Amino acid sequence: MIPTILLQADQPPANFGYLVAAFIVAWLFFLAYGLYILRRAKESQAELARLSRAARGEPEEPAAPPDPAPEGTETGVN
Amino acid sequence: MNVLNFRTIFGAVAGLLMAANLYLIFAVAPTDAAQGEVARVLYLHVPVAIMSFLAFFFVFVGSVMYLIKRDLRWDSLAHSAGEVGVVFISVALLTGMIWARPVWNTWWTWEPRLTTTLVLWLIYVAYLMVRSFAPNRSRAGVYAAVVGIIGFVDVPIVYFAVEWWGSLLHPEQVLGPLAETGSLDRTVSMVLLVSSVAFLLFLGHMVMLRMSLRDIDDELARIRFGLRRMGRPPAGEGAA
Repeated sequence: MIPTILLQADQPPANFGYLVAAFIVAWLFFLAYGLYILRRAKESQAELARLSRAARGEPEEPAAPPDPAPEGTETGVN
Repeated sequence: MNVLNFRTIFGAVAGLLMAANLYLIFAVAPTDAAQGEVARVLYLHVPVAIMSFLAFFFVFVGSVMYLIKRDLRWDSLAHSAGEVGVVFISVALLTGMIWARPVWNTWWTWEPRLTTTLVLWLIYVAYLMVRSFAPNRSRAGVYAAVVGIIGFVDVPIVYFAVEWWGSLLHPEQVLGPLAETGSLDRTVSMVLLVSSVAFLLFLGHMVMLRMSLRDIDDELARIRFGLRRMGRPPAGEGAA
């Protein structure tokens, strides 16, 4: 049960550091995941453009950056 | 309005509401008399945990529909919600541990709610691993769907754990069917509600973002397959 006796102020923030730590950890986690998704989307878009050109028989652009995931692994997690 | 615009607007609304939510948490919500400032973790920990349950419900629905219809869009929903759900439940576990340290004087204890939540985390990490290790996309979808359906059984167990097995540490439910009406201060309830809506929109935005990535990956797989069938494997691959 959450205590319902509440104080508006005058409570020394003895555990304020834990509150800040919880929010920082949570948002770092969300931020890291969001950046991971955006980076993956950018890489996949570039790969899609390259393969689309290849499918149309157009010459591929040289020096495409190597894919960190091994090619040919057609698993669901990408 | 195309999907990208809808997602952008949705994300902007979620961001604005999240900013307002942070203001409410730190400037409006009252300080708890017993726990002090750290009790404000409530407005992060509880909504994030509830939203992870919702994400796993999406996994369940997507998995059932994929097994029935074999439509990759349902698999995409299940896959995306599963991955985002793991992020949310990880944050719920971590923030719970940080909250527990000053209040319970321990980072972790094997009480029912924590134990069942850890099991839930393990189930959905396994769900993502099954996808990784399956030999191809269609099998990955089927295997993961089975895990996603069976794994969802743990969600109500987590919710009812304190009710069923009792706990001297974990509080009773503050949201959902077991929550007592009027058990929370009015301001606390209001901030908790706003926080829940903000994290609901945030969850929706993250799932949509992940689904768009999955769509690109599905398209990539189709093109690679087509190129191999034409005897023109993509650069870096040998002939099929």
